[in-house]
Amino acid sequence: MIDKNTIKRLKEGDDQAFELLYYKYFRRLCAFTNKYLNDYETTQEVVQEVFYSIWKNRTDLKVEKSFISYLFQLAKNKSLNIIKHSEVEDKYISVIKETYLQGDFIDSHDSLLAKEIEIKTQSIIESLPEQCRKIYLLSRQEGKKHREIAEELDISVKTVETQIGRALKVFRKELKEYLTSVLLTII
Amino acid sequence: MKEEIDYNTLLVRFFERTADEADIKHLSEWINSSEENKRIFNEYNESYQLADITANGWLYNTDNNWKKLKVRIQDEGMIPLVKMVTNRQMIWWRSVAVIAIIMTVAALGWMFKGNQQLSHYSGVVSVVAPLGQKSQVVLQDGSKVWLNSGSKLEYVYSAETNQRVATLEGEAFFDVAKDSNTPFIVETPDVVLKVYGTRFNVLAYAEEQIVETTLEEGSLGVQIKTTGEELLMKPGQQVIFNKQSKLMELSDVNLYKHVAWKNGKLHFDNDTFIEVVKKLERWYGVEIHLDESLHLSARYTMIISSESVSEVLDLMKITTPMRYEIRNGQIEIIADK
Repeated sequence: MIDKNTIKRLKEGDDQAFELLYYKYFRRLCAFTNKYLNDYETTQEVVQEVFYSIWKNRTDLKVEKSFISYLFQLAKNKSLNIIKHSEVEDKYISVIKETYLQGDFIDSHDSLLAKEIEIKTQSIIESLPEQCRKIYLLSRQEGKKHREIAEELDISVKTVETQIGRALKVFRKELKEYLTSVLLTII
Repeated sequence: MKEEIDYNTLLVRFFERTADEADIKHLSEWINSSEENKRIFNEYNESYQLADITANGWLYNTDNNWKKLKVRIQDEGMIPLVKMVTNRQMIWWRSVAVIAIIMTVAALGWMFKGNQQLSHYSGVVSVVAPLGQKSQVVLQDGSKVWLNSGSKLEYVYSAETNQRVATLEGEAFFDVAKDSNTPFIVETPDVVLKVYGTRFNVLAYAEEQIVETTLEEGSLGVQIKTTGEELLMKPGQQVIFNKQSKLMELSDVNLYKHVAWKNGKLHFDNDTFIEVVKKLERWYGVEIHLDESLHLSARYTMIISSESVSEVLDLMKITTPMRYEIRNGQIEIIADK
């Protein structure tokens, strides 16, 4: 449904084209942005800002081939700006800062087929070993803390962590081709 | 002697937000020790976020966010109702909804007298959504309200108590403009809500047994008028007040299901026949009579947007042996043998 024409229509102010692009990229863009911001609320706000500015500046859009790259670049810039100015007190932010403000990541966006990614991750989750998947979903879907999961399943917190760690390894391996960033190593 | 900390465990704790100060310190050290580790961290981070959007169904809801963005973009053309009416010159809008509200407000007998200008901060704004229609209005303070069919809202700023007070009968979705100095109070016959800047849905029809409040964003306090008991809500939660038992129950819900109506969608989720009929009556503004021969055990799950009432009834006919007749705005449903 989305083709080269869609971007052209967006530039002309076609709000249906805009809606198509929004629905296609919104969640994917949120996942990408959250790796920087580590906060669901702020991430959504930033992504909204990105789409808002796309719409506001639609007539000046100089992108045809790499609309997606443009989207991601906007999100990245806004995110880096936010983490640069954020308080070091938040321990999680300090880790993010060290990784992304001091490393130089180049973003490539070849396989950004949003729907395919969700289908792929769905099947990855379903393929996880039983206990591993159960524990992972209790944490993500039901928002249960590791302590609660351990109590509920009558296992140790360490086991919970190990199982989620297992899932983490599988995601990284299976989703490698969909990841965007490559670290530029200066030789 | 240093203990080998498994970096995989540190990563789990980081993403799942169970890391303590020591964990963070070790993770930082590990990340900073090589570019390779930075890259590994990034890969884990990205793949975790990707998996999260799939595992976490309600996360980053596209529909809700799209509606918000649309409203924000359209807002640049949206002008507050009261501001307009207090101008001496009547300005005609393109928006049909706003015209409908003006007419309804006029019909309620609320008009400004002669040359007298109503000030922004006195006077009651009254909005009605007749059965079968929905209304939308922007209040003096910038708050937006969507009214579902068969509902009535009165809004006033009270200078003595320094409160914004909305009195509601029926169902409304509120997007309250932030003003931490002036609490926004929603009064229904049985419960009162206190908000500071937030988005939430209130269902308080007189003929229903329950009062249902669903919070989308921000924070909200629900208080029972007779007992004074109060509950503080978080986003994604719902409070159901039972008028008979006088008890309040707090639960986590699927937000979209409860606010879908404001986006023009009627949502049925495993609803009984009776529940469906009640919702249809309200949504379309019709009266539906059920013949006693009907076997009412079926349940329905569907989302309606622009269908007519007969299209919906035809849908139901597929799974339920029934026939219906429409006569003078009244519908009769009979069992089909």
